[in-house]
Amino acid sequence: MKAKERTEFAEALPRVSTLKRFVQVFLGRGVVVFGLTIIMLLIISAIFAPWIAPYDPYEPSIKEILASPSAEHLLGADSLGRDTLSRVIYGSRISLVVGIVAIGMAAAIGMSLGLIAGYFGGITYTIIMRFIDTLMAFPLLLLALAIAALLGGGLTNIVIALGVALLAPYARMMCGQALSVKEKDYVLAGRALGATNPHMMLRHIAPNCFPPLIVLMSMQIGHAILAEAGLSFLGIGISPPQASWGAMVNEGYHYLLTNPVLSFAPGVAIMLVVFAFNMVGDGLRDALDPRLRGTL
Amino acid sequence: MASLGLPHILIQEILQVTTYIVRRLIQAGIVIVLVTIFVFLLMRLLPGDPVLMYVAADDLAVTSPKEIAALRHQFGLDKPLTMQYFDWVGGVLHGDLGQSIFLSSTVAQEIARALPKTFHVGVIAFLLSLIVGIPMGIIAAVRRGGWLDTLITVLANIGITAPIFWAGIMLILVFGVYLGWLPIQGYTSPFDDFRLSTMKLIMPVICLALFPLAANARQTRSAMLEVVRQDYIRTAWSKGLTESTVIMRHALKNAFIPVVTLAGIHIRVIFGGQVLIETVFNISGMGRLAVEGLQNHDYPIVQGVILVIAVVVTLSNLLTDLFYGWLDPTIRYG
Repeated sequence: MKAKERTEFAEALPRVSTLKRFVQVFLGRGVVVFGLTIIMLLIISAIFAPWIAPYDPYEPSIKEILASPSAEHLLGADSLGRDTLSRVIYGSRISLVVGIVAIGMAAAIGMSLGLIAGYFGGITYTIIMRFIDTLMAFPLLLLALAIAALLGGGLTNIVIALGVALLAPYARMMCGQALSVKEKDYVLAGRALGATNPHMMLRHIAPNCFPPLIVLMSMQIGHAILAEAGLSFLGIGISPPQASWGAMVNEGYHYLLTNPVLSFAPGVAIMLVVFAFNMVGDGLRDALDPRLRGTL
Repeated sequence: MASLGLPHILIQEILQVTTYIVRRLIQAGIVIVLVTIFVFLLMRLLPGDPVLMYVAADDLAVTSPKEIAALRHQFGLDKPLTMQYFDWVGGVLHGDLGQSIFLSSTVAQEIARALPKTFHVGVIAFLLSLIVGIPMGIIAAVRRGGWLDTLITVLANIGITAPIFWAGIMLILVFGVYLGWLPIQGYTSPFDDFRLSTMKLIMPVICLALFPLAANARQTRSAMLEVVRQDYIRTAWSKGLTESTVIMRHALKNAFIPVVTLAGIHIRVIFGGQVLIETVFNISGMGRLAVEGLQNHDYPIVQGVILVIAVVVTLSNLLTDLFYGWLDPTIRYG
């Protein structure tokens, strides 16, 4: 009888698929769809740059030096006669790689440190979290600048510098989560059944952190792209002749009076991409945490 | 009975507050010690031999290994790393941050010249981000869904996405070059020429305040929308209080708590931003000193700048935490 009542009650409730609800909320806002579109365009232009770009971005042309925007060069040409549009398209590769790889690295290291600190507690917690506090004492750009100077410029080293400089929030978030979850009954039950520490950490504690982690990662990709652009603007990031948007803004700065589009175009590209990742981050947060929907 | 209990509660409260402050002071002290170790090691790991750089920079006629070894001994670089660290920290505690390799002055003198400029620009940007950002957030929350909310949300989203060095260049182009309203570069002390100083500050301050202002507006709006759903706000409305009383007296204090947390982060963001903005606007502050130091491999300068900035950030985080504890008693009782 009781089982029958339960079945009837369950049938009376509307069926809600978690995935369907997530998709509905996530794609429910226009700006999120706009953000997703921009990210898709970024990925396409990064992968298919050689086919999309009208010219070779590294090929100088004496005749085209500082050419104004025209039908041939939609965004003009730089001081070496290289097509600006082609360089903006190729620059998307740097931004995408830096954004995704640096954040992936920061999340992997930060989460591991936070998980170990929160799970084991005691002296392990103190050592790891004081190290994280120390990282938090340095402004992101200054820390990345110092690490990049230590390692040298270039894509790999910038990714490492930003990966280290951005890991603190992941460690803090994971540590807080581990501290709160490790006292729950199911974790104690797991321990009583003889589960090993790595098993407990990876199977029972880490998955609880994934929703806020995904939101944080999507928000931080924008920060990483901005930081890379800043480092390249200062001449410490991606080395020439590679097309980096930050370095292009700096290069264009020298020709601001004669050819402002050289600075303007890569700056707009940075802004659009960062905006896109932030909006997708907002959308993910809304979909994963309904309590905050529409408040940010 | 109540009068007998009051002093006990007061003593307990004072003890809790004191414990909280002492605990935070100890934590900040530990972080500052770790910061010194981190900066020291970072600079020792940087590529290049400081003695050879010193020789090259000063064009000294020192080439033999014996003379280089003598210089190494003079700078204390032949000592074990731990001894070098304690020598350096001892010097720092006495205000001696070392000698610049490229400039004919000490690191302390260079920092003393640069720090006031960085503070001047940074403090105004920080205050602007609070004075404008928080009211924008309140207005957006109170008028949720209206055109003002939409406008503020769009502006805030632009503010957190624009690269500040690019925003600076665009402001220079529009207000400096095309309109000619503002001077495009440099720094003037307000004590020398207040008007010129203010004019020169407008663009760098706007660029530096852009991100914190937008983030404050977003956070205040979000926090206000959370708070206005609470029962005690409904009670305040039902008592017949005016909108301004409900917002200013009841909602704002609790909505303010997450904004205070952000304030600590924003001090760090502003210091980081100054590395870029001082380069764009040619301001000889701490950020530019650090960049030039790195470009010239002038490591004593970089070491000094990073150390001073990290200590200032740690102390401002401490102040933020203490203020946070005062605003939200659950923090200090926790």
